[in-house]
Amino acid sequence: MRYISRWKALLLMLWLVAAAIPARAEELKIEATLIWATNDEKFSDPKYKAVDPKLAEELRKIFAWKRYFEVSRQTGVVPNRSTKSFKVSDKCVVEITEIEGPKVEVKLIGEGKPVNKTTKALKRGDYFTLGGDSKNGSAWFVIISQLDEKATSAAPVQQAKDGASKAAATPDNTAKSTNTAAK
Amino acid sequence: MKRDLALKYQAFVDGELSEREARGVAEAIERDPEAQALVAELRATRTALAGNEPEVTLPETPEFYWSKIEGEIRRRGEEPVGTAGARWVAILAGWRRFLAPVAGVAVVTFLAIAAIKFQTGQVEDYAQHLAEIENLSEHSTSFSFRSGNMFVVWVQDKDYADVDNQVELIDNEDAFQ
Repeated sequence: MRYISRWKALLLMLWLVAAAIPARAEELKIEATLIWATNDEKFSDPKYKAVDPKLAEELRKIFAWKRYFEVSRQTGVVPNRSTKSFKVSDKCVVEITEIEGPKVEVKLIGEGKPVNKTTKALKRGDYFTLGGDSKNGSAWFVIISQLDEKATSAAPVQQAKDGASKAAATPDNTAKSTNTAAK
Repeated sequence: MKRDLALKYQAFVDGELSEREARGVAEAIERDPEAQALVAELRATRTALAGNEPEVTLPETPEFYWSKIEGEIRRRGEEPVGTAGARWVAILAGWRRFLAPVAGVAVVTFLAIAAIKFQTGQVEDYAQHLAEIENLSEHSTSFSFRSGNMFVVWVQDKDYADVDNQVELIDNEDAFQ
């Protein structure tokens, strides 16, 4: 009788632990940023702000370009086992699907045509970067990162508004650069 | 016969009842042969015990007898309980009763911490570094590499891909995997 009670207590504790573990499948709060990179020291356009210094430093460690400008920024939630499209410019869309793993399937679409599909685990704090060459020795980047819940609750609406307006204002050279991959 | 009634008869035999109660019980006994038999048995037992109670006498005077008991108590109080090893064994035996609950709590704590780490992605997952890349356009090609916390898929036009240009674009060749 005494042992039955102990077993019951152990099962209860295990059940409590199991109940405390949420399922790993989750909706993803994603930020997709379109960045244009150049070595042109004279380039200046008030419509484009320099990217976050920390991110720019990360990019400079890897790539040869010295200046990085944020063209648009989109924030959104990718539902569990579903797909969400992020239109980073008029001609470039990134489709992100949350799949089992948990992983994400990132599909790059240029001018309505699929260009590349990458499936990978996305970890908070990591950057998933799609990049390519552009005209005049410049380059484009789409940087995808998973946001913390706190960050998304504070900023997503404003960021989405900012991103939409900037994407609409993308200059011709940037739009073309974004679609370099789709040529 | 009921137990209460039997106890009353015993009290009657021991002379513990009031006069009025004793009179009533005596009348009842006279009417009931079973009660008479019980009372007779109780009286016989009482007589036997009263006549044969063992009488214990001290071999010495009571003062001397108690002084010996006091001395023995004092002596045992001053005597060491046991060796150091025996003391540790006794302490460990005392703690052993906490072993099962502490082990249970430790297991639950471990599972909870592991679950939290797994949930928050603190556990190193080597699958994080694996990626499946598929070129969906016949006009483009791609390659990937990782540097620090940045995973890069570089997409380029096939017509535009030449080695010289590739080297020029990537500053840190060590980053290639």
